[in-house]
Amino acid sequence: MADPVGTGRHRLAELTAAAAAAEVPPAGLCRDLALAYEKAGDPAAAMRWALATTDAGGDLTCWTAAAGVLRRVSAGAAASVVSPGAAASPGAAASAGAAASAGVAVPARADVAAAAGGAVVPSPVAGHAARSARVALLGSYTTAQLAALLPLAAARAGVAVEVYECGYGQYRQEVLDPGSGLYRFRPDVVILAVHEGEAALPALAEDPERAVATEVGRWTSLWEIITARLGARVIQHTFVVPETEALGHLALRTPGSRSSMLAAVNAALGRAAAGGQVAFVDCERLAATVGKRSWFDPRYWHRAKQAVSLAHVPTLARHTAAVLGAQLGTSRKCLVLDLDNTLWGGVLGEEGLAGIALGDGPVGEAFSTFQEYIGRLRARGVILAVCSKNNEADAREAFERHPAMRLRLDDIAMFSASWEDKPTQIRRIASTLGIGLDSLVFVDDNPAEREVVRQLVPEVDVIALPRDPHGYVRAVADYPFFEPAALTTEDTARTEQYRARARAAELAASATSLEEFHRGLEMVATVVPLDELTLPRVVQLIGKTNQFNLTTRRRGEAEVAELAADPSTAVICVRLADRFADHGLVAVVIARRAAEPGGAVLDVDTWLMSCRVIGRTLEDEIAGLIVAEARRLGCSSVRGHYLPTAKNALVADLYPRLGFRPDPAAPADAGRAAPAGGPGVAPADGTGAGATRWVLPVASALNRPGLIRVVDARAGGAAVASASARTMEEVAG
Amino acid sequence: MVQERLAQVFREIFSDDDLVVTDATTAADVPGWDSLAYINLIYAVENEFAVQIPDERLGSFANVGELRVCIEELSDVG
Repeated sequence: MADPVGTGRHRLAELTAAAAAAEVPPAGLCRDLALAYEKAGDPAAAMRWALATTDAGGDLTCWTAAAGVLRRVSAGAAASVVSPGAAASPGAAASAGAAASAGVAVPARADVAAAAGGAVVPSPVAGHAARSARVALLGSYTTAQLAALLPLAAARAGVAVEVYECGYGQYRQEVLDPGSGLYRFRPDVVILAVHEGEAALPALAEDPERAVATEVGRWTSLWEIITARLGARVIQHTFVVPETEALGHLALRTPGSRSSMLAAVNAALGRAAAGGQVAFVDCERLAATVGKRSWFDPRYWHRAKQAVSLAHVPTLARHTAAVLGAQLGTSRKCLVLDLDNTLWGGVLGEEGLAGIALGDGPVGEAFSTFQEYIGRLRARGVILAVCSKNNEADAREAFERHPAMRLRLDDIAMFSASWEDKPTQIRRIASTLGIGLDSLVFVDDNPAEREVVRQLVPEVDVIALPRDPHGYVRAVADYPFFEPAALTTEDTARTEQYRARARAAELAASATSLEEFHRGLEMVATVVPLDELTLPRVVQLIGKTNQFNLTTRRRGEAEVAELAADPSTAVICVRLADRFADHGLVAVVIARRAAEPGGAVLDVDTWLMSCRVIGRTLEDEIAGLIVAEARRLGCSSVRGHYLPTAKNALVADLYPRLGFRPDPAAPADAGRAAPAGGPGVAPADGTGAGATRWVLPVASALNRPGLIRVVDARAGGAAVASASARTMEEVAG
Repeated sequence: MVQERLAQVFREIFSDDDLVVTDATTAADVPGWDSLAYINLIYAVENEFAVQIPDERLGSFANVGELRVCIEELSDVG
């Protein structure tokens, strides 16, 4: 501790030496280097290693730490850029920050190379932020981790992003409501990160075609609104067909099975989007690749509503970023191929045309298969170049004469075979083809060639091939930054017809306003008694609800039970269900009758709702229930409190919105008078500042949207159990 | 042993090399410890110790000490 700078240097030297031991340093090491360089005050190197973490596999913990480095370094760089233009928008500032870092990237690299004995420097990444974008992440599950990783993944794909995350599960409401945070954010790109549970399809449908068409329409109508009203591009995550299927193998020949319909919806969405402003991340394929049981972990679904297990959120972020980059034009364009032991086995110059392994035997087949895959990349638009240390005439002859050769000379846009070093050849390839070095991806079986390219042409991405050729296809296929934005114009024209046809058929049935959406949900709120069955859930909500919570008073089971037993207390517990899901017990109100000089008042001690049901007008219906309780207890008015916390700004204006007026009897500093124990007891109780008090006479008319049917299922309540379920109008009318 | 590895996981999750973690540490003691960090932490702990914390114990830890005891019970590395 005597010399923190010296200690830091020592740490850096240690880490750098460790990194030198592997061609691609493990993710944990990349992360540690990023943190160490950040500490050492070298933002360019910190950013480079943070981005290298994403290429090194990296688990969620590594990625999250690396994302933190990128965030802090970008913010620091942006702050130090003295340019009013760059400071005007965070997106621009982030990209300016990346550019500023790029400016010092070269000397920093030299330092690292020297310290590492010239061995290891990851693929360069600082300064890749060729584009910037405002990205809205609209999810149907907990997307906080994905939102945290997206800036890192996007920076790796060459895009500096500012991310907006919608409230939990609020994606549809935010798209339909022109007053939502989404519209204020003005996104360039909207990512619909949704999971299969969000598809409104039954386990078994009688009319599967109609069910599929309706579901497709629910999504295409969202796309329409996003493109028309927000002018944003859409990136849609496809639905992962669950690996559990009650129908077993029969599901495949049952068009009405949920599995069949989900697959049909994915396919139909693909047709509807073809050629348009909508791109996909094919989560179905990603999930199948890693294994669906690994992709979805029920433990984390039940714990935290993670529909993609945390182990795979980095993969999802990486692929989402690749698609984002493709949409914004940062995808790589050209694959630069070595020849000996890359496109065929053996060294042509030594073994001759007849001696190389290609076509026959397990090794020869593996090389042929690799060539076929490269050919498919070529067919869909990737430019191919050859970069080989060979006699050019011999190398060309192999393409012309070897019978098992899958690639032809005219597949190769630039054929560079000479005895020059590869960095020189690569620079010439780029200048001849007229594309930037940052459009190139280099593939070579020789680690030394890969390393020299990483060192001397850091803009080029390098794919490390595994030892055996059978792994080559996967090594290249796993590289995500060749993602194409579209195929050729002819393809686009053809698919546009599909798209128009699909849209016309599907739009008709879909909600395009928030109110229609709410009506379509067929929501039913059921008021249930507080009893031994509901008490645990009520206490859980009281203990953990932060956002929609007016007073944030935490209470234990015994305390709640005692309160509820008091005849002057009203407890309202509400379950909410809709056409798609039963959300369970989601709202709790505790209110107490207080005798006061001007007449009895119902004092709302606690009012909270689960974030699952925010934005569905349930609060308006509950206000009606509170007024009904006030009448039942002989109160002339209802009094509400808002005690601000770090997390409940959402409901700061709830009472005035519902028609409550400021309480004239409130003390000058209402918060201090609040019966919640005051500062120091529990910060969440509100520390006084900003607390407000509101009143509403019970005679006031409440403006209720009437989008939810309210049923009172309390025994001994106004309506006895199911005998006569009464609507909200009747209960509170 | 478990205590030290656990402290290292905390330092990684909260990106703070100097974070001091004891049995008595609670969420209130660590800046940035919110529900998101908690889930990330549990995930990292489960990976580090190769254990699966039972569903019913997940929300039950009052402090780091209780989490440590749970890990020790599950992994027999106490």
